[in-house]
Amino acid sequence: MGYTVLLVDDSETIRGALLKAFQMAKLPMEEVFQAGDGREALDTLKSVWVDMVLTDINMPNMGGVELLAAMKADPSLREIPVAVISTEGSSTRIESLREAGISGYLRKPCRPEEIRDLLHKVLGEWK
Amino acid sequence: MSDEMREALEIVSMRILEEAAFFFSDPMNDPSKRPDASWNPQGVELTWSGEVSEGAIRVWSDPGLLVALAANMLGVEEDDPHARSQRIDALGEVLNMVLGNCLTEAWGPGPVFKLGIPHQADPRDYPLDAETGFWLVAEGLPMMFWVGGRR
Repeated sequence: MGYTVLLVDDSETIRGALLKAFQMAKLPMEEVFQAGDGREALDTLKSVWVDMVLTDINMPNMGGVELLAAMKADPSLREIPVAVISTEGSSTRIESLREAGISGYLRKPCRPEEIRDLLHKVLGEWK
Repeated sequence: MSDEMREALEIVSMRILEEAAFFFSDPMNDPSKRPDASWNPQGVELTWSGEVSEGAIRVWSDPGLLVALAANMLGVEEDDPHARSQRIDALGEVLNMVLGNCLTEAWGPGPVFKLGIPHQADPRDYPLDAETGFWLVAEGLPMMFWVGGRR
């Protein structure tokens, strides 16, 4: 038993690095699903339940802002916490993401312990 | 290259290489140490636009660095097939992190910028601009960042 998470990033390297960070932080992961953009993420969420979505902002086809809006507009998805992991450094943009309902934000590059703390904050520490 | 972005690049690029890929690098201050015209690097380009500036940034890397770069980012051995297949993607993500952090370093946290998607750049399509780029040495091999744009 552990966390079930959907990683959304167009970079396979970043998704792989996050998987490695989960291991390094000794996070109890039940399952990690992956999507390359917001559209793939929404398709994935039609068939699986996740505890949390970790998404990039800047992606082809559908970015993280549009994904967040689509999830908040869908009654079956709106309660799933969404956290953003991005290179974005604009406080204006980050504040607008918070107003739109994100549960957390990390700036790339981020350390495994920062990712662990984010998951603990959003989902609670797995005992 | 705007002074703001050039200064930001010098501050940010080596930090990102260290934090994201565990690459320790130093500025290549002596132009005579730069590779000669036969150098055939791999490159990635990324654009940005915003109210205070817009432009493009490129990174040119010695091909010999890229498998190690991807392996370090992925946390795998260099002989892992993913390290080879993801080497350009890894370079693109380094550039993405460098640009995102440079924009904040240069213009502060207030302005909003729209970043493009990193794409591979062919050295035959772009002048290398060796004189205006920021050269560094990572793991003993050359890498060069170039940024151009307007305020």
